[in-house]
Amino acid sequence: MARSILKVLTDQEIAQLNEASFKILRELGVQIDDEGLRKELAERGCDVDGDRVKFKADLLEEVIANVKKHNHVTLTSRDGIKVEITPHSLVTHATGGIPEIIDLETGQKRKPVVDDVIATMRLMNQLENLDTPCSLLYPDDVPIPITQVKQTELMFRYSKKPIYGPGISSPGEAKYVVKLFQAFAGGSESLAENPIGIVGVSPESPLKIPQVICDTMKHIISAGIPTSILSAPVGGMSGPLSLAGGLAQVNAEILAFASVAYVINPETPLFYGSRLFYANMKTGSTIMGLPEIGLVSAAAAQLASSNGFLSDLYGLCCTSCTFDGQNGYENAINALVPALAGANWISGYGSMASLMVASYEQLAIDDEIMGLIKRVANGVTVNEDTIGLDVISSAVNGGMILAHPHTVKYLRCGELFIPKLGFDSVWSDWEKKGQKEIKTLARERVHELLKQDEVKALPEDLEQEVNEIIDAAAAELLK
Amino acid sequence: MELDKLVQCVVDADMDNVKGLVEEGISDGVAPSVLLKEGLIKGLDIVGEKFESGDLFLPEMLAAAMTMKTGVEVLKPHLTGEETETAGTVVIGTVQGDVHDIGKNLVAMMLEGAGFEVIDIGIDVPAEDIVKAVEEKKPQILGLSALLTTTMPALKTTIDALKEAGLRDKVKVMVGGAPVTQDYADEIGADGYASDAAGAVTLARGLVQS
Repeated sequence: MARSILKVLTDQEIAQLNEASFKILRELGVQIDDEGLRKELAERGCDVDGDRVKFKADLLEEVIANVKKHNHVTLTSRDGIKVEITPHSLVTHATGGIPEIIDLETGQKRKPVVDDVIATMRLMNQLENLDTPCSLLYPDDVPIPITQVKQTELMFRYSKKPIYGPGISSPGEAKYVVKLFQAFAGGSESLAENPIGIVGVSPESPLKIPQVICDTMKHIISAGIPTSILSAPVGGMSGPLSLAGGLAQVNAEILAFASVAYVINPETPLFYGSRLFYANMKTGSTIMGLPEIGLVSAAAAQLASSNGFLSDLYGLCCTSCTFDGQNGYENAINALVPALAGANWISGYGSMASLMVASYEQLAIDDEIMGLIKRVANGVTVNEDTIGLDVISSAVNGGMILAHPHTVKYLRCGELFIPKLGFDSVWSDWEKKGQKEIKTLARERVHELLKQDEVKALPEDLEQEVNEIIDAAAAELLK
Repeated sequence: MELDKLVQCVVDADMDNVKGLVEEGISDGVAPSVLLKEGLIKGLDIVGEKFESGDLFLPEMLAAAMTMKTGVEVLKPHLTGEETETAGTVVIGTVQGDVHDIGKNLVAMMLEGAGFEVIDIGIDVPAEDIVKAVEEKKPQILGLSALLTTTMPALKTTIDALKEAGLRDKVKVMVGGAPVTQDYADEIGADGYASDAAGAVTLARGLVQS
């Protein structure tokens, strides 16, 4: 069994980091702009010093105990597809809200439109290793004040799988995102008990929960929508450059956010969404291909687990701007390392150029990379049958291993990875097949998969309800 | 007083000793303009060259710039008006709806290091407040930052507000932030865009000269 075999932190180091986070929360506290929430936290034993809330260990322990009660989450889509996220699962989601895309036909970078959001959602339906699609793109043809609402609508409308909703940063939009969740869940269903997807909400680093985020939380957390706490300091800029310092800060920010969420609605499932990342320290531009991203995600997986959280972490990500070797090694290393350290949910499908450019082909390539990683994470199964002494014995006695039932059995149950995209033969075959590079193979696969996806219309009453929500959002937010 | 010590102090970003060295120079009778040009500025020029050639990283460059700034503060009362002339004045801020300040702060510090007077008006600044700052401070350059795709349109809103206030041709506007591109800068009528902080300094110098 390979899951959680990689320990980048010792138990003693995990304890030291947790102690540091508790100290940060106790001594420095967190700026929480909402007066009402500060008062509620004070009633639960926190010290309030101006707009800073200093957390006591008692409350943090209570929050952690509550988090542990919600660490099995099953998301179910309208089509009945279930995705279970548990302390032992490894599931995946796409990147959200990328501002540009590489055109599938011209290969040129351009602004994405709603049709691209729809096409990428349909493509993601067909990617077998992608568990929860997200609106990969930020559609340029939707008015900005309602983009997060529109992204949510498009995700629910076109995804056959449960969704990883957009990062929500505006309370105005949060209100309508909640209405969409309720409409697509069938109205009366509890979004916390029977969730159809999740959203992300970010505190600000270092150690701030601004008013807009407090207000956004009130909508989302009150409604019980499972929420990933996306703490995203840039090492050396909005958090310490040292990896341990960044981790201690992320851990503190997530515990503080979880405490505020606990006060609002203790039933809402929360995910440990470490998004610790780094910059090119010569230019200050943040870059996503550094191996430290995978390393701190692995450490965050261990920290999350130590506090009972399910983790949702950076994985597939690269600095590379094209379909080259750098793209492959950056994505693979950064996703493999946290996967082996026990990450429960890995992000990043479809992104290039440090999350600033998306690509249809990259979605297909990332699905292949995750296929390899999931295989590695499944590890080596050791038991009497897999050891296969009978097979060896039969070979010694003149039998044929290739045709042995044991060989057929294990081939069929996925003992060997069989690529869906990558080349898996010999040089002469490669020549025969036109010497195609991964980009060409990926493009062909995208076309093939898009043909397979069928779009079903929404039931009439739901269609009407959704349209009314979008109209109401537009009427209020586009004033 | 050996000027080389002051030069090296800036190169080493030795914040603890810069104040003492400048004071020593003044009490030794070294001309303040010499301490400035052949000491502090020379030190930062060396750092700038090393940064340009890739031998130094951004934090080292910024630390050296802050060291120089500390030295200049000590020198200021001893310098003539002409000697304290800056490379230009920049009003800089993050647009409305956006609370991110890393990029903006980085550019501000780099500009200060390059001799600009920087007036930082903060984060989440409404267009009307930016217009007011331009009206009052009369900078040569206005630097606007947006990190989020959702807040990028506020760059355009701000430029439009400058036009409405009749101030657009009084100030050069440079824009930046992770999702911002040269195409977008052109589209909204900005005067310049840079993809990183060092590029912003080069851009600012060019805009002041134009």
